[in-house]
Amino acid sequence: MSGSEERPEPTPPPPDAGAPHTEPTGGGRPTEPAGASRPSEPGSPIDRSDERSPVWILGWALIGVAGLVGGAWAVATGASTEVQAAALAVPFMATAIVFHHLVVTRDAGELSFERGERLADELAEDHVAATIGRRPLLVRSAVAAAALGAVGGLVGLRQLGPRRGRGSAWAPGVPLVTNDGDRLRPGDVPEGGVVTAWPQDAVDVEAAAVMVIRLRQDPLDPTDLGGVVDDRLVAYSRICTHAGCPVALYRDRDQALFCPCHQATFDARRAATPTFGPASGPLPQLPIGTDDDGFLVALDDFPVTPGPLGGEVER
Amino acid sequence: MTSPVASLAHAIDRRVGRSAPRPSLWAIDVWRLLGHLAVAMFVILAVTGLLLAIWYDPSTEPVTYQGSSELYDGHTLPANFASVVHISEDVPGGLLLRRVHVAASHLFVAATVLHLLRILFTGAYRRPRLANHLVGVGLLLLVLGMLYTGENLPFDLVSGASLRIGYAALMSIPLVGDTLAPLAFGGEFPGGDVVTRSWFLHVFVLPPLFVGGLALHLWLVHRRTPAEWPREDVDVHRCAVGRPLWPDASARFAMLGAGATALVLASAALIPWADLELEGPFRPAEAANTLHPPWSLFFLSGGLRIVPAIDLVIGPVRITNMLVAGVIIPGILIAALVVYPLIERAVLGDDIVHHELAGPLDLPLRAGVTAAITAVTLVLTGAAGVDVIAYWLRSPVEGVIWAFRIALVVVPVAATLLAVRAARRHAERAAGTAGSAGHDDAEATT
Repeated sequence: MSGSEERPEPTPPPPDAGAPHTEPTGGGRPTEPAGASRPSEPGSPIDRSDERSPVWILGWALIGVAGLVGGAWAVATGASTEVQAAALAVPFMATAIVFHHLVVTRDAGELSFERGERLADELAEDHVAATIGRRPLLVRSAVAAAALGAVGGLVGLRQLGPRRGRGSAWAPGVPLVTNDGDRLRPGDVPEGGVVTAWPQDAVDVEAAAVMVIRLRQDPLDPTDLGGVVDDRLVAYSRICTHAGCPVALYRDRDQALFCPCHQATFDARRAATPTFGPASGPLPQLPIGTDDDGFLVALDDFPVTPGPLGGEVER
Repeated sequence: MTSPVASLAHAIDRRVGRSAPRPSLWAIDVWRLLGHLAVAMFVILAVTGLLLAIWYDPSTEPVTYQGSSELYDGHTLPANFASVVHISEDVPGGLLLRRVHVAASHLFVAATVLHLLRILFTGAYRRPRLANHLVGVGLLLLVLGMLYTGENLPFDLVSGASLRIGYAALMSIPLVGDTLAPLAFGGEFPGGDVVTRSWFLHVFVLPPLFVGGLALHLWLVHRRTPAEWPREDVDVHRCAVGRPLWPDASARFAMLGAGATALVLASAALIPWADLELEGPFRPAEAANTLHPPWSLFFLSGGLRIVPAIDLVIGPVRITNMLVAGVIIPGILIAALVVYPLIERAVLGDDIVHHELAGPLDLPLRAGVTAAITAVTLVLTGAAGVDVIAYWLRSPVEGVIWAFRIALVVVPVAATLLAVRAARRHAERAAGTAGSAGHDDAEATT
């Protein structure tokens, strides 16, 4: 394990290369088995002096410090992020190369020892399966307790927790307004166009958002025709019944509403019934009409609570 | 005479290094170093995360941003989004911090997942390392938790979608969903508290838990000694083999950490990770045209896209696509990681200690199950890109989704059958060579 004689490089290698290194020297073969064959040389391997190392390390240390200073300068002067990143990568690369040098030149090989008696107690600790095998009563009572706890927690949660609200901010006569709070007229929605609308007093309350769509053809069954303005102006909840994403895309070609999150597709002519994808419920239709001044108003709330269909059945 | 550094090195060496009575041995090869790569990435994430926390503001209250971002100067934005814009545009080196944090998170998850696959394929979860495998699965859950909560922090349109889907996933749970979702979010979506809670979890809860779990994980690796591939020169069942922690293994870990950091920084110079110039802030009921989570959550997003619509009402319980693809399928995948080792042990009646790593094809049961888990995860991961694939192919997205639906059934079945068949052949070949070797011996002796 005497290091320096084995090293073949006669001169200090230049600090620019990853450098040709020899195979790990020293105890490349693991010593087998324990105890006696452990290197008995005094002092840890890190102490073994290697006169050539400082030149290497100095070279890379200089490059690393240069990179660090350059990176700090780049950050301080507001140079572009790319320059900052490239400069700061240098010291880490230099550190890696120095360590690579140390690893390759000072490696003392693998060690091995017999697990045998020395580790018998440590290695016998894997109780998981053993316990399950040997203590059926304990396991059964644990399962029973967990089940009881789960039922209790479930009942407690249902009784004590907050509940998701039903219905929405829409009610008969509530005006439809735009993102900016301006009231909407039927004429504001061009043919084949979609406008996002809110209840007048609940702009940006996500669950109440609707899309007002002017269809190119007459709506069909099962659309609530009593809640349609000008025969073709319909309003649907904007919140997908699948995952609650905004159904933000409208495909004029087949008058389909399309959710960018998971590709749920709804037929805008047929009460926004799902036609493809993961959604199982239609987007609730908001029945709309016009008031005396010709502005759009809701005729009623949604027929069902808008938003994703949850695991609980609405009563 | 001896410097303090040298005496410290001596002390470490006597405790865990080459001169210790029981040296701490660490296996060093590409596959084993994946775990250490993940640790190195966690260090980068912790350092950059601490720095980012100086400027990050979790509040969603609207504020007027003023700064050097031309796009957002003078606009009213949620405070958290504005603080992220501020970090990117006004803090010196801030954008670099964000890019490095995100780049390191990608490598962190990749290294973690590959490390897990290595454990599964080589049977490294067998006795006496099962407990450590379970700790590892717990760490994986923490990693996914940190990823999800971290994704929510910028509060851009992508965060908005991920929060909505999280809310819907909680809501899809039968019997308690309507209570659980508002409870977790602090009210109806978007809930006043959810980003603050994400931030709290991302910074104060999950990383300390991860550090604790990681310490246990590494301590168990040390205690159990590394498992080793079968080799000629050492009876690995009887003897522990590896590089002593001090100095050889430590030098390698340091080299790996420094090299990986340099790589992450170089990638941050080349790739604009995490630049959110064009991702607008969260707005109620608004979405971008395509929305994708980080790739490591694709398996969730993909399932939600390709599992067909389900609406099964049984009494007070409604089963939806969200429940199946967002809760049950991922739950089964994670549970399989925990349960499969126990099943394997029971089926084989294998209760003995294994210090030898197996080959991926050594056992037909293991080959089949690992192939099935991997194939399902890969198909679901690919399925998250149906919209992008449809765009590349210039074909309707419906067709692409149908292709993935078929693939979700066919590919795992085919992969499982192929893996089992390959494993059987492998066993036959092994038996064949052993048999012929025995035959030769017999001939030689006669």
